[in-house]
Amino acid sequence: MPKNPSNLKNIDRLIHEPTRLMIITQLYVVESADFLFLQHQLQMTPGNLSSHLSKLEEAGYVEIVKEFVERKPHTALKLTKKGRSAFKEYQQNLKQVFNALPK
Amino acid sequence: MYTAIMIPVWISAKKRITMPRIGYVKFRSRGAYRLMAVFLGLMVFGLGTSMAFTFASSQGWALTLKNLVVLNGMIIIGVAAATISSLFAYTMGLKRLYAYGLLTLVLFLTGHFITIPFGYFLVTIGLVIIITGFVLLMRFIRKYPITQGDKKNAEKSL
Repeated sequence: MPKNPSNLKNIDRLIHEPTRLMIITQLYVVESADFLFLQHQLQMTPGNLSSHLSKLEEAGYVEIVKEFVERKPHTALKLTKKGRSAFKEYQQNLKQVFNALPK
Repeated sequence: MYTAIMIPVWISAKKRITMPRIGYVKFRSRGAYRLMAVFLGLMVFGLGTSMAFTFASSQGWALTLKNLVVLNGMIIIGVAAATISSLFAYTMGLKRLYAYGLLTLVLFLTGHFITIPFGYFLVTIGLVIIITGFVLLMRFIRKYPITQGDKKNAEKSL
């Protein structure tokens, strides 16, 4: 048995969902990205991506900035401080769980 | 002059061709620092070389230096071009720049031993870069057509 299985209880389920985990991982390594970039990187449909982004925005993990670039609407996405630290905590928790497993 | 023309063309091409197809991403500062480090390194190297040449000239070695540069000019240009291309390839993660650097090095090394007019080398390298760029552009445009509709609606709903 893992030494500290209770860490699994602390896992942030909002981040743990595979699609949202992919979105957060992408945004974690960049400063910001737009909707189209994420859609291509993750091979997702616009509707699916949009619904996951809304959930992340509601949780305060992702900031959605709507702007006009050369008179065309543009949606920029950015991981917030809260999102960044939540993802770091998620990584730590997972690491602890896996490290506790026998080799 | 080349930079003055190419940078606006490059920015405009990015806005009109790349961004509507694959979107836009702003990387965190680490990549920018790397590029800045390469630029600074090249500037320091250039300044150092010119200072060394000035010093050598003041010591009366001007003729020896001139002969050295003229006699090995092709090798010097080839190595310099390959080094600069490799630095940019590493910094920007563009593997084809390694190939361009290697091609330049091979052509200029060949030119050192075989007498062929200098212009021919430049035309060959230019043609290879233009043709490769054109082929890559065509492949990119085919692979990533501009899509609207669904994406616009989904973005609006955010």
